[in-house]
Amino acid sequence: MKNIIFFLGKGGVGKTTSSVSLSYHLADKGKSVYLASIDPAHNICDIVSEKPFNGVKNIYQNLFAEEVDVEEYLKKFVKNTTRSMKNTYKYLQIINLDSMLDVMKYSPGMEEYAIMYALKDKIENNIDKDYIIIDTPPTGLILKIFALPFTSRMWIEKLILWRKKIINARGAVANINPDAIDKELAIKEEDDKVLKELGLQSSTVEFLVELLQDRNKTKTAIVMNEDELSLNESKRIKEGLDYMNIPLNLIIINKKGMIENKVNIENSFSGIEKAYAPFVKDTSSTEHIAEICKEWAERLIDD
Amino acid sequence: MLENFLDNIKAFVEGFKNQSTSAIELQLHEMENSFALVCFGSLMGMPSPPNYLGMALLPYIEQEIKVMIFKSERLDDRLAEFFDLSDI
Repeated sequence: MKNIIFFLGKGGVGKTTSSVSLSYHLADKGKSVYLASIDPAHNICDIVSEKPFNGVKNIYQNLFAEEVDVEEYLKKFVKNTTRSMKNTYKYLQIINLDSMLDVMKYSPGMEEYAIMYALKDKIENNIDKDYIIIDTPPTGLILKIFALPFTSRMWIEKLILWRKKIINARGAVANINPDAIDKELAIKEEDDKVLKELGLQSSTVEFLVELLQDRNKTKTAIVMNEDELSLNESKRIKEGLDYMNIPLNLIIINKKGMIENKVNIENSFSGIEKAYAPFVKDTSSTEHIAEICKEWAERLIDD
Repeated sequence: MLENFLDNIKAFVEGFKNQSTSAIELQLHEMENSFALVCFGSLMGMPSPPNYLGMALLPYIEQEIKVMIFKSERLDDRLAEFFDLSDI
């Protein structure tokens, strides 16, 4: 994989159209491309004039598209947890554990987690493609998804340290007075299931943190229009990315000339490249869609 | 007589062993309690790891949850807890 490119921005500014446009452009150049939408409200199929599809679909030359099913990842997580719970807590068989844990899908943060996990999974599965292009959900959600690996990493590190202290203390008690502690609890660090689970979670978040901060591989573009709302939201995205030390490569001002009272963008985002993209009314043909990225495509790809 | 003496020594060592681990056990239970509290802190408004982490660990922390519930039940009787801690 040469690059992974994220398109960010306010809802409706043209993130999906821009990501599809770049994907067609790269496919036309003979590159293999994996285009994924991690927005729970997908619309790749509308733009490429396809019927809604499940899984990966080869939509054009060497371009493979997927609208990632976040719900499926959530279901898988809840199913696995329920299975492990049943194995450990045998006495819970009498209550309806499935429906109790099913409710957890709706707790705060679970959707972000599912998207984060899906993102890692999809990137790993498509690492053989030349380019991976990710169409993201609108600002609020994507900033939370990007922040999740960073906050999780901090918690996981602390929990691992804490867990090791517990295991050491249990070992100390078992050494001096074996009757004082249950044999199953006095185990070595490598046999502890909590540490194993934390290790697995740690590998997922480390993978994403490293990838997001990799200035050679990861490219991000904010798509915006010439109105004040999308300008303000784009500024918030930039602040969020700066805070997480994620590179921002390009500001794409989409649908150029469409807004009458346009705001002055030139003075904002100093030091970041800006590019304009025309408003394309007819997106029924690949030629028209590929036109959108003509001015800025080369600035986002290392070739 | 020698046997008696040796038994006394043994009992003394056992008692000493029990006493020496009780402090570590107490600390261990506090650590187990806090570990469970942190994992499920969001339920009571504590700063906590993301929910999915607590849920991913849930199947493996039965002991910690037991200790947490035991300790929580006694929170309204601090005097008894104090006497227990002080071995009175």
